[in-house]
Amino acid sequence: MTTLSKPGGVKYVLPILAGRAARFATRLRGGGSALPGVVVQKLAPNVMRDVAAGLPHGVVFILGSNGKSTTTNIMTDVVRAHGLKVFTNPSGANMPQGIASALLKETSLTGRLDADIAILEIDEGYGVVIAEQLRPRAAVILNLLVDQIYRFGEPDRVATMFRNIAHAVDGYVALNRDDNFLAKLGTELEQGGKHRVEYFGSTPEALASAPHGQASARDYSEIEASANGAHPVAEVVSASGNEAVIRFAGTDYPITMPSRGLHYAVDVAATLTLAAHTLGERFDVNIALKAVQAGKTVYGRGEIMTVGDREVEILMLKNLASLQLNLDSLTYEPDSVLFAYDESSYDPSWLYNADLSKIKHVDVISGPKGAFVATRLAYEGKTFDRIIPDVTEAVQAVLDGPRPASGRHTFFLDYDQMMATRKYLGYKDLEAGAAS
Amino acid sequence: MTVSILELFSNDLALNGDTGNRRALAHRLELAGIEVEQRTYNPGDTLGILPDIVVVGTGSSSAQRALAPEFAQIAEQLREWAKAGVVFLAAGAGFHLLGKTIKLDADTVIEGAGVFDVTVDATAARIVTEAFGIDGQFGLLIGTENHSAVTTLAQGMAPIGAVRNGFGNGDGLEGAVVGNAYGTHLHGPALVLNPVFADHLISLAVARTGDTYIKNDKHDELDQTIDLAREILIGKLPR
Repeated sequence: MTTLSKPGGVKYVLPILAGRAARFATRLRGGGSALPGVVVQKLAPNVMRDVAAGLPHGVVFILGSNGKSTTTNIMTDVVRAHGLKVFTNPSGANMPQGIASALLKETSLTGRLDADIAILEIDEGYGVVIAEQLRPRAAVILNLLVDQIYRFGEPDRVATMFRNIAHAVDGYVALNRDDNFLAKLGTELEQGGKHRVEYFGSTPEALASAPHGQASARDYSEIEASANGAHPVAEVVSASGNEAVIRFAGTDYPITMPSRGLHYAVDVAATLTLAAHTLGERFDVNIALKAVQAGKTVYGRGEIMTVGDREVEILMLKNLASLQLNLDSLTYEPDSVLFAYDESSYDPSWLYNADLSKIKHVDVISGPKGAFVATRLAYEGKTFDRIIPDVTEAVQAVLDGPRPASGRHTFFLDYDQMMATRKYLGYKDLEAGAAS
Repeated sequence: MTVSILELFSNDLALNGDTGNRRALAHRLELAGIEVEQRTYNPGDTLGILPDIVVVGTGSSSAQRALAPEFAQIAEQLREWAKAGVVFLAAGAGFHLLGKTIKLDADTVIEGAGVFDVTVDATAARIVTEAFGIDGQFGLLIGTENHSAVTTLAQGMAPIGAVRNGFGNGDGLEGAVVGNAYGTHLHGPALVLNPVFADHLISLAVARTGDTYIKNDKHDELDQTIDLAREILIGKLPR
């Protein structure tokens, strides 16, 4: 009766079957991925906790305003390269029901997940709830940026969320020592004595090389960050385009990254820090960096697609930092630009804080709220050719136009516009989408 | 003549892209062929000579707490400027910090610069109104509000208008006006989506400098684009 001794056992057969039926039903309907999770959790509230408890290396959380999907992706590649079986959530499916659905899809009828470790990107608004269910052993927090003001009100509230999540993590937290809020959170956790705290960061030279640094939100508290941040586990020494140098245990490693920019290099440093802790003696920095360099970019985050005789590069704009850091990391002057903004991005005010000097002209503006982008450009005295609200029509219009001298179209896309564009261009391997 | 625009605390009080207000004024003036000087003031800077327009924007409550002493340092100068007819546009936290007092929590009341005779209770539940609409002398002002404040105007202080959709000051009215100084909870930022309001502030400013603000085709073209964005929010107002 070995099956029954595994976590969950027979008591989860019915709930998980019900969840699968729900998945089948939503698939027929063509709907979202969150419902199966709702069904199973209603029938068996402890199933998530028990499934997670059965993982030999436990659960690891990836948190931060920006870079969650990318870092989860890199971390998954690195840990798999070391021979572990990894369960991870599809990027964007980072809220409770989405994670539950993703997890339960891979769970046997007896409540066993065939993996050594779960590496999960987690929405900051739900992190505590998810932590209570999954009891993570380690977490990394990448950054705290001005993000989703319409949802969170102000950055300080997000700082409280990160603090509460960190307190719900059992043991280890890796933090960005160059982030205004997170360096101080590290000090607080060190003083609390419940956590092992480690840091990653960038040299002052690397930070200065990016025109707007990391766009970290301001912290007005008067706490002094401890000196421990001066000794990061992994540090970005330089980052220019796809080339970066990462310092790990006193040695500098030049790497070629699948995506550009300081922010990507920082995600790599964060991964090395977390992976070295998580894998312990198994960790080999050469294996890790080989996996990093062989990795693919996450959908729509600096992804380059080939369409006929052109390239299309998709850069996601979800907030000021993502747009600014993507602009800053451009190694070419975009000569064919499409810019599309979502309906679900409620307040486009932040566009006025962006430095758009890298963009000279926009060919097509799209999305339900494209007019806000047009207005922003108009105030800057920058020209655009057309507004085409439907993004697939806009994409087609760009592709029907002349081939740009660079051979590349640069698309700045909000989340929903990015999803629709990839689908339209025939990339069917869509991520699960935000669990709503 | 040159119209000079001074943005206060541009590093801290621009949480909702409020720098766009300075940009909007400057761009509209420049389209009319009027020279513009744009300045910013941040802690440690000198305030400099009398500007024609002062703008100040939105920020977090911790920024308000941190900046209160900074406002106290320049309060007298700001009040003098306001009395002398300098045009002010203050949004959100910047508006509140130009008021009399702000109650931040049960134990903390901070003093503002006193340009506006208003008291603010910033302990209210957070209000987020995507399509914040105000009726008044500028027609329909449209934008977004996102704050947690109840704002009480002293007797004799005029509001900017009546709230059509949203919370505003909390009593059905929105903002405050004293002389050429305007305070509001509107962002988006406020002036980029409301050219009538922007042009009114410009007309007050050029009356001071002796310039003549005559709009042309380029303003019309700009305003057509702005209208497309306005329509998106206007479409969200309850009917």
